[in-house]
Amino acid sequence: MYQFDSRSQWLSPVQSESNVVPFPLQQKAPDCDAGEISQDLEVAGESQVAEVSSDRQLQLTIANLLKYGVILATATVFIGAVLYLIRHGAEPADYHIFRGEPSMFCSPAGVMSAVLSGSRRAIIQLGLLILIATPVLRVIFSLITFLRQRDFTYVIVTSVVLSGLLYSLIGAYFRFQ
Amino acid sequence: MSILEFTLLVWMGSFTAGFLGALTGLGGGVVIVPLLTSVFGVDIRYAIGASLVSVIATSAGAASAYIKKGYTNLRLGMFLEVATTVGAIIGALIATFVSVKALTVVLGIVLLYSAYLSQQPRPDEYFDSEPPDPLVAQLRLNGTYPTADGAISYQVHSLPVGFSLMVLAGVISGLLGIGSGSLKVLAMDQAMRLPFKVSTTTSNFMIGVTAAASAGVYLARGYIDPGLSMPVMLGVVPGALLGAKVLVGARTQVLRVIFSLVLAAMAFKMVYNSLHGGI
Repeated sequence: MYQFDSRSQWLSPVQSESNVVPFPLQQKAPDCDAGEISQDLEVAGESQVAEVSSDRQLQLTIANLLKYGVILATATVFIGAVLYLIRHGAEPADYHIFRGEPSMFCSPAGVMSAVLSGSRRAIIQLGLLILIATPVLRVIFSLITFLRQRDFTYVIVTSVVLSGLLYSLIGAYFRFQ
Repeated sequence: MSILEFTLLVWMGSFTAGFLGALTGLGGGVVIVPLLTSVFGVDIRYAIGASLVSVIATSAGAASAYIKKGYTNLRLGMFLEVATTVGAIIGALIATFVSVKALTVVLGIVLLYSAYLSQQPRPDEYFDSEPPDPLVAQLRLNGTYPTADGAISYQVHSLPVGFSLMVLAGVISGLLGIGSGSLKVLAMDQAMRLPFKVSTTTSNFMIGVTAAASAGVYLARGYIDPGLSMPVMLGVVPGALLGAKVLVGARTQVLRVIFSLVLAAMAFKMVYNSLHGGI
């Protein structure tokens, strides 16, 4: 990956054209602590106090949401995988010819009822659904945050993204059945 | 081949793909589809479904760390997701009625192009004297990112061009089940002139939502097979996480060259097989 190597490369243009970089360079490495936020605020101005800290809050929540979503999905897939391989491991594998999945694996409701009826492949599919739902939840959560902040530009932006996702997850199912 | 053997082999292949994808910055998805089709003889539609699922997993897994470090520009990512989501749904809908041959040829071209892009030198960092774009300011897309010398601020340029390229990235992602990270990074690096770390991490952040948008269509069409997606996902994710750890301080130049040659070879084999009635 790219390395931000030479420090002089960064500093010289900044010093010569101070209007280009509105934020003065800070001495310590930035972290999520309160000191850094308050340093930012001195430059950014009092009016943005609430916004900077709530954006930081949104960042942390989104980061955790994604992390735990992937962990939960992976764990579910893994459990399903072990159960599936114990029962079906010796059968021949065949993905050479496309047949399409049975319709119960093609919708969230179908997968849930297949899990309840004891299908082991359905447990894996449930894990995959949790995985697909993770970014969707992230968008829903962002939408709620922007609504609370009364940031209506981003309420519209996230609403459009969310309707696209919902169309794909729900609309496509009805369209193709 | 029994299901157990098949699962273990696909798991090992996916682990390697995830590892190399993270090390070279090309992403695992771009290797998974040709690996499954040309090495394991899997139908390309099952391969696309499985790849898409693994792309969501690696994106979400890596995004978490990048967001906490402050590299990812969340507002920019969310704004551009409008373009990639719409593109991804269009791409997935096209994929459901286009022939397998056409899909294979498009994928071959995208693979070759990715291999070529990975050989290009990184663009220099810019210090711009242009006045801020009023639309960008209105959307509050400009940001800062951390370096060893403290936070550096940057401006977003050519938003309309970047937005259009993102629609295209979305279509390709939806059509082929890959993250199309290289195209996203290209749009943000070259058109919008963002710092490299900001474009790679923001691209990674957007990939999850883009892939989820087409995953719904693929799920409904029966392309997502649990038995095949399981080893792919369980292999790519730890492979990518390990690759990201090793990446720090690793010299990747030689690896990039080898990897893009492998990619090109797989692309040719896949297109050749498809055009000669193989697979």
